[in-house]
Amino acid sequence: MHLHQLPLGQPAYIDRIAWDRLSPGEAQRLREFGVEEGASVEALHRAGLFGRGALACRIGRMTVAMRHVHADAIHVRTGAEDLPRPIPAAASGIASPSPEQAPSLS
Amino acid sequence: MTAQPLIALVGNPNAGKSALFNALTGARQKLGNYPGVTVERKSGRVSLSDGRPAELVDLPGTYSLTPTSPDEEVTRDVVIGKQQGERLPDALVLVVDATNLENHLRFALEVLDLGLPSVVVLNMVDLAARDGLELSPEALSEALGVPVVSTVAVRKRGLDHLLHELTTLIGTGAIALRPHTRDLSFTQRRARAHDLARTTIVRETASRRLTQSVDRIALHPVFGPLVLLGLLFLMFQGVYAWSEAPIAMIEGWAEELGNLATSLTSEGYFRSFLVDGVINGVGSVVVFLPQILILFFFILMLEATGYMTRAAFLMDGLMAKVGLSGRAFIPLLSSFACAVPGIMATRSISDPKDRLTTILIAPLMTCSARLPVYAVIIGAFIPARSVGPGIGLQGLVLFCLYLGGIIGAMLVALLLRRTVTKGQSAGLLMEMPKYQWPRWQDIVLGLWQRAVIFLKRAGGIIFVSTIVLWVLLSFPKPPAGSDTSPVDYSAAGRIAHVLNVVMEPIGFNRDISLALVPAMAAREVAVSALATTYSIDAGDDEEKLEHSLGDRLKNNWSLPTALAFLVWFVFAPQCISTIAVTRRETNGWKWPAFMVGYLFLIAYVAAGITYWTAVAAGL
Repeated sequence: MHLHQLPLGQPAYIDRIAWDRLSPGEAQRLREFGVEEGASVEALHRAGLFGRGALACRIGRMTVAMRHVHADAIHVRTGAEDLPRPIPAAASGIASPSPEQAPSLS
Repeated sequence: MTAQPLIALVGNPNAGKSALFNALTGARQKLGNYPGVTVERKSGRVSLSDGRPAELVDLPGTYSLTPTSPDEEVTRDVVIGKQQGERLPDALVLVVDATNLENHLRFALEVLDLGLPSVVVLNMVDLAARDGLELSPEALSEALGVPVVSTVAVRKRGLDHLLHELTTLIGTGAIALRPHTRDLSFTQRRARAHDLARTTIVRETASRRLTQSVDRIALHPVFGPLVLLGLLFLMFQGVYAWSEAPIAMIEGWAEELGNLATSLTSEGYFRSFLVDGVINGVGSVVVFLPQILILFFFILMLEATGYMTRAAFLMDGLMAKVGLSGRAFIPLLSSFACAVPGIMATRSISDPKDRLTTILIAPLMTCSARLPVYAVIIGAFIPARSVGPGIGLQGLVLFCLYLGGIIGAMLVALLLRRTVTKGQSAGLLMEMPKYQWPRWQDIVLGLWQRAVIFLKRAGGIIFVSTIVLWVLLSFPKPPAGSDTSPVDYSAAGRIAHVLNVVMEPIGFNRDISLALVPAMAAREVAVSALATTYSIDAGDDEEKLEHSLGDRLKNNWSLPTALAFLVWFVFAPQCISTIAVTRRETNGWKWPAFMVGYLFLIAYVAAGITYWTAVAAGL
């Protein structure tokens, strides 16, 4: 389901992002806010009584305000049965953060 | 090296950089500009632990070293040593929000990879504790290989430790940095930041999330807008209710100063110049300092507590309807204080057409310079009676004038977005920081800086234009025995007569036409101009001289004229600084010329309609 369809207060994970539907600037900003596959997300508030007001959501530990058009490009999933891998380490193939190993990353 | 060491504060927006900068430098701050760009350079002096002085510069907040705005470009260029007019910093202070480690550490890693000597600051550890996070700066320090210091900038906690680390860093020169994430992709660096955050967070317990509880009301679809409206209403009522006593005090001083000057000088031009021109003119503007400070107090508080972005969130729907970004709300709300910083704040809007539209409508937001004008007219013509519990009629009229500016701005934006700035709106994407109670010293410092700017204006532009006006009003003198009043006979009076041909149809009289010319420099000059005019007009007539400016206006103006005058100032672009900053921000004269033209046109038509309607209604 799209992020804007997610009921308020229900925790979910970002499943997929349709980056091609966002401008490069918007895509960069969303990435900087931590929007990426596997990130935890929760819709918190919707502005406006009717229709498509802005959406405030929690991404990781951050609260971000976005418009319907952005929330529409973010696909999320709920439910514990198919929780995606947690983002760190595993997703990027990076080893654990011991200082000794860090240099080898570069 | 002979120069003082240069230390730069780097971090994400909302990391608490400015609070840390204020806490470290106190009032020893210098505001300037980077050469060639319109980005503000904020620097100050700090004393290192060993007593050496160092220069601290507060770089614009950014989320990464891939800039999306001129501000962010400056930050990147400074840290890579490519910024014109700035040397490469000797040390960096990487400010990280302790409640949002995953996100802020990603940027910190990006900067650390540049290899400059750095200290990482875990700021707002008190808020992290409030969120149930227990952190280990030692673990982070070990993982990063750089010193890590915990601070609460707004409570001045951890500053000594930070200064101590900086002293060591600068004393020993560059320290060996481990390469961390150089050559990694954005996602890989982010993953590393997540790992680091997990290393740093020792324990996480469920806790009361203050921000979320407050937001349940503040962002509620029904209560949220009511709270916002209530806050704005309180702000405008406060401007009136809380300013009475300090205004009376300043008025008292001005009167005593006038009496003193009168007793020390002999009758003649010099006394008239000093008392009618300087003391009366400048005094009539300085008297509004309390109201301007109250307004700025509210705006600074809204910004510092984190509420401002909530207001932008609530207003986004409305902004979208007129084709603007919700981000435009912050520059527009700042424009209530002054359009100049408001227009400069539009730099955070990345879409050029969104930004241009916001610049063009910013002067419609009622700035603090209009307050003196509004206050004097409202005080004279609107009775100070109550129209409901806690609601004064005068405050209500003021509120309506603000509302008029807002509605005008929305209509103009709607029109512009369909014509000259046609195109898709870029929308709203912004971080909403946690609520925080600001340090009162920061608010006081902000107010002090605003007061200095205002008084400098009163001492500069207003002083000079008051003197020029006094000269134009005082010469030539009517011949003895002439019926013509001194003002009518003067050079200024003659100019006003010509201008009055255009202004008379909308109900303006000679005195208004006269006041409008010097008020091109700044709106509040209109008040000092009126004060000077009536002061000279009264001549030696003691009975007239005893009247306050308000009484004199009441005797000379009709209510429809006063209302038309108020409405004129809702729209008229009477401010040289705004025109100049628009030219600078749009790189040419085309847009400021367009802005001045359309605003004068609206001002004329709206003031006319007000006057004709009021006359027809028999007011």
